[in-house]
Amino acid sequence: MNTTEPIITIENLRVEFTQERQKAFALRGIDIAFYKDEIHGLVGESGSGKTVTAMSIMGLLPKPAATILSGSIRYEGKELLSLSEDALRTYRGSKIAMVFQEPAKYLNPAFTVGEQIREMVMLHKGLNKHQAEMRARELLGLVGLGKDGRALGAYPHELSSGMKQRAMIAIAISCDPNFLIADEPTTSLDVTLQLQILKLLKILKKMKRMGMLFISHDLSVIREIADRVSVIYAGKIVESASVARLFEHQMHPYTRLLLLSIPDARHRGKKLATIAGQVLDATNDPQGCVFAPRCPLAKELCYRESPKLIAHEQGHTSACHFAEEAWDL
Amino acid sequence: MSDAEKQHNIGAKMNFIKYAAKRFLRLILTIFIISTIIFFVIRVIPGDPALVIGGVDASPSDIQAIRAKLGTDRPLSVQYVEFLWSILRLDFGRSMISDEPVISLILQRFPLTFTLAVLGLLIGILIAIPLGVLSAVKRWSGWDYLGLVFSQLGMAIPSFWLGILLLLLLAIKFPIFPLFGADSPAGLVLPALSLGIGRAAILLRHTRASMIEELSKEYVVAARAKGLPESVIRYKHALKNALLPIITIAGIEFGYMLGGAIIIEQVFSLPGLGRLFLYAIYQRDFPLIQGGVVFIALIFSLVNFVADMLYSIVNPKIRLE
Repeated sequence: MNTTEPIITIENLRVEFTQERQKAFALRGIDIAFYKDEIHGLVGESGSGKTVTAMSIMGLLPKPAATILSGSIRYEGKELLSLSEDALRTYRGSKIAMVFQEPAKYLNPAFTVGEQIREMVMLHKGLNKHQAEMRARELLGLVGLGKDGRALGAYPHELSSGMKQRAMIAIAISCDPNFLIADEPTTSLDVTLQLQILKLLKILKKMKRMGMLFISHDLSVIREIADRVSVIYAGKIVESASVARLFEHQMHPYTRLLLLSIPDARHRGKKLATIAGQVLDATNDPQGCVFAPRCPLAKELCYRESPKLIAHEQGHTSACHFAEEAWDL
Repeated sequence: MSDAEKQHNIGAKMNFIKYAAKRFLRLILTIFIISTIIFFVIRVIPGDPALVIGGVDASPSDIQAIRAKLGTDRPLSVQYVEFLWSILRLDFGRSMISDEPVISLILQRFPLTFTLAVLGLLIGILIAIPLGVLSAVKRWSGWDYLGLVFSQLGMAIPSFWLGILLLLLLAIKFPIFPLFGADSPAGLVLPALSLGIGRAAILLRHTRASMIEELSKEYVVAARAKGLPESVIRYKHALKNALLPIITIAGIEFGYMLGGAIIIEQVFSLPGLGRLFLYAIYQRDFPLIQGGVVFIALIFSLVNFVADMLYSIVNPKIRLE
């Protein structure tokens, strides 16, 4: 268990999207804390609220579609949600940085990699052109794009997809952020590149002692990189534990079913488990547990009352009425 | 700049040269094709220039003499090769009416038309880009509606009518500018405005659309995540990308103004290329028509070549494609 103060604390964050007068609940009250020197994996299906969580921290929720209904996001104790846009900008990039899923789209095609790093360190660190140049070269070496600075003058399209992602990581860590958000940074890469990027992120985390939110829909990637995992379902954190503990012992039926649906060599020949039913409609605001309609264990209580995220032994939290009970799926 | 970066830039320069060479070959090919078409079209049109020059009273031997002088008595293939060779030397022959070399007639008139087109383009760009960017950034604001009304009117109003209105207002009612002629620079203001406003309308729409598209791209989100001020995101990151298609369109508009200012020159009685060619057509001055079309094609291709080069400097991606 981590005894230090978290870098970022999110409490009861509720975010709603309005589209064509339809209200959709993107986050239904999220509680999560991120610590220094810890990679926190956030896993969930598409539409479960992973990216919305990331964008809320960045203060980059699409306006005016998204509304924060309630909750708090604190960076080292300071409330971010009450900050002005200008004040928030001093956090973005310098204290909290982000790596995106598709580097080909998130890098600006019209500027060299060098320029995309330089402009950032000149802005946040107040470096002059020459210092920024040196810094950019150093960063490229750090992420494995060569110590000779060749990549500095390269435009994004001149780099391979793995190199692009390295360039984006170099940009993100350029101002030594305390917290890095990586939103599916390896999803668009092939498997060998995936491993390289995961390794790089791990090394950088250790070196810079950063906190990291690592978003993925892929539990095997999470297992590879994360120290702690939170499972998100329909805009709610349903379970959270250290990686070792979560893969060994699940305290929420959704997590268990998610794990069972991963192909495993040990269960060769067996039919792969699937989770019956469909993800809760985002326009729906049920009284009870968000997973109840798909849960094989759901009882009357589950439809009536929404379970709270409760801490159990070893920092293992679960939002299930029957977390402590022995159940089998 | 580091050695490595320099080396990278040398590589990029090589790519640029290759790209430029390729585009240049395309330019030559375009000129060649247009010249060929012109050569044959002129010869397909019924009517023998020798008869036009000789007049009704000319005897068959006179006609024959004129043909020999024009070179139209020789086989078509010989004429064709000679024609191509003369284009290479920019020698378009002599006007049948004034007997002056076609190229010197054209070059006399060209500066005025060129100046007019440059001014027109300048006015177009100066109106379209700021207003287009503003419209895109502040969508559905007063600026956006102003831009919308302007571009609708600018495209709907014919330039000659605008020219006449401008003359009525600013040359007759309030005689600020001269009524006709290009004796002073002031004489170019109204024609350039009438040309430029129509161009501005088109460029404005493209600028707005292009900017809106760029502002919705993912790299803009990434730029925000970097903590960059909104002004930097708009006017550095998005604008550079948004201007790419605008350069191409501006090039086409410029070429159009070089060849298509005929009506405006007529309205303002300006001795430009447009009027020269108009009279050449009235008078069946074949060498002048032929030279004029080739010349316009040449200029149009050159302008587009320059636009392509500019485009590739702003957008390095294109060099590789």
